[in-house]
Amino acid sequence: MDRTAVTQLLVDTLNDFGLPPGTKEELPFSETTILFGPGGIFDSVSLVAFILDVEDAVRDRYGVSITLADDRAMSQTRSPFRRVSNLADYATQLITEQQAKS
Amino acid sequence: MSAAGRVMVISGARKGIGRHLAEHYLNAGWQVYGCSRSASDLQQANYRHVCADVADDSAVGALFSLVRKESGRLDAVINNAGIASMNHCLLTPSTTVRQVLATNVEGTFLFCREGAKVMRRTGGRIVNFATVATPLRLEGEAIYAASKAAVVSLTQILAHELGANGITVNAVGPTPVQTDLTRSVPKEKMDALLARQAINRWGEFSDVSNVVDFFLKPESAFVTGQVIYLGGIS
Repeated sequence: MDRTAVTQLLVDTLNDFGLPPGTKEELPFSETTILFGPGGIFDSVSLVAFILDVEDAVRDRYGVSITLADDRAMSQTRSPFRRVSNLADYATQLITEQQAKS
Repeated sequence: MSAAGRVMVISGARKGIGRHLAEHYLNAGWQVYGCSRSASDLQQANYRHVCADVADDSAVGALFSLVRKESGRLDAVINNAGIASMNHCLLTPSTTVRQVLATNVEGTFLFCREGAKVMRRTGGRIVNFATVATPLRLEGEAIYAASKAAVVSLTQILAHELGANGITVNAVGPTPVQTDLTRSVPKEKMDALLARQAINRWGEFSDVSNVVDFFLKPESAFVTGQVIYLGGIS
């Protein structure tokens, strides 16, 4: 699985999603964009909507269903939802696993 | 408002109340996806039956993925599938507990979750199934009533979680209706149950679909998190 392509998918999804009202993050979005936590662009509610958009985008582009907010994600030392780069790492791992199963 | 072009998913659609609802909404112009563990003999142009266990996460995901691909929209989810097991608590095996909770609670949750994913941008309706056994504290139905109490909690909390998405979540609590679910219950038990209702008769399929109709009406967009029990039970 090409991590660069997954990163671009996340950035595309972020661009489609748009910035929640009141956020100060500078465009353009990139690997270093902070998603959630201190300085992040999302609150918990908008993060849920963004995760669902990413899952939809992964299904449309790669034909596999992944669940980003699973128990494994929650137990990671470094949250996959902190930065775009973290989410790219985790999503790439899940897509690779799902493609190997199918 | 015409229902033409509107799409719904009904669980437990092969027989009983679910079958009635499928036919009722097909006649009203809906496109209906029915689901049950076994195949259905219902054949209509706007009906598609999918064999799946409602407690099977991947099967439920595949069902809603099919709806999304084929129809491109979803307007309502009717969580009718349910099982009961009448028994004294001292005689109830853990396998029964797990089966009832899996179908009634986990199945309802999975359909709510996957249905809401499809409807989250457009809004929609979810109708769950409660039971009068819960408010009646019906002896011999501890696990069934407890599972449906969980469905009531799901209904009320999901109404809050999904309200911002324009999705209403409500529940209907039928009295006994003559289906496979009630057929095995002794007559004297059933008579005693009916006597506790404000209106002492069996429920009809149309009593149930009338409440579902109300939840689905466009004018009911501000009605959410509610449980309507039939027969005067509260």
